[in-house]
Amino acid sequence: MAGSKYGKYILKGTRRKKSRSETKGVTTVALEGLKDWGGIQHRMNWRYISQPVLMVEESHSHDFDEFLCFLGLDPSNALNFGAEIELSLGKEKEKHIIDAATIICIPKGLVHGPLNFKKIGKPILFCNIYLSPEYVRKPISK
Amino acid sequence: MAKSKYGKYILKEPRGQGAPPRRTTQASGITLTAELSSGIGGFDCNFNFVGILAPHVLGDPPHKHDCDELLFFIPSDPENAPDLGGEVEVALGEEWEKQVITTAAIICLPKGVQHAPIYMKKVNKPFYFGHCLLASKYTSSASPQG
Repeated sequence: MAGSKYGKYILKGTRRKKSRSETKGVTTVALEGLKDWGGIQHRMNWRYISQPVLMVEESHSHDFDEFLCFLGLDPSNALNFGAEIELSLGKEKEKHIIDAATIICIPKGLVHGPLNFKKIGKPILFCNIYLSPEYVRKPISK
Repeated sequence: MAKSKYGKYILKEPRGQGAPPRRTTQASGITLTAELSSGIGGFDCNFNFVGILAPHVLGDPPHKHDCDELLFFIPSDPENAPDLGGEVEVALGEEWEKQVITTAAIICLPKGVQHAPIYMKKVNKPFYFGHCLLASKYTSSASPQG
């Protein structure tokens, strides 16, 4: 915006063609934030999930805290949730089923994954918030 | 979950304390508060998702924070993404520079940048709005005690 002082702080979605690498049933919103964006140190992104998908195959961890948010797509009732998601936590791969609107708090260093959207009765919103300007996965040594 | 080591990290239907909004223009979504995360050590982060159902002006007066914040606008219709399904006017800075949001958007607010009022001017299709503040509790220059 010409003459705008604060427009640089706003990241707006733009219409785009589907990327060849895009997974069927997953609509990604290409908003995340620039690497050096006003000096802030956290980021977020979101995806719409409309079909079952194994989103994360490998266990991994991060050097930052992360929050995985799952909620229904009806803003008048976010708890109206029609999906079943399986997430493994810890090196032991302790399995958890997410079948309600949920926030999973993943402290830095906590191993997590795979993440499998197993049943999608109704499309859901999956939002990832992480406390770092850059998203980096640390694979688990076998 | 019996004998779960990691179940404590999972907050199902997290809504925090207090009654849901009585206004029909908004609906509670999900939230992470210091109270909800206190059992797992707490985090320097709090956030919420609120359903925006009808036009209104948010109750927050112009304010700023002493930490960084993200404001986000999430459409509920992936078929028409990135269209927001509405129109929002956000005042930024002490000059109240008007920014108009009609698509999915994230606003980054470095600490000290004044923001609000936020006017949900048109809502053709309900959408999510929220904040994510880099502090365990929500405080602002308008309500320093949160």
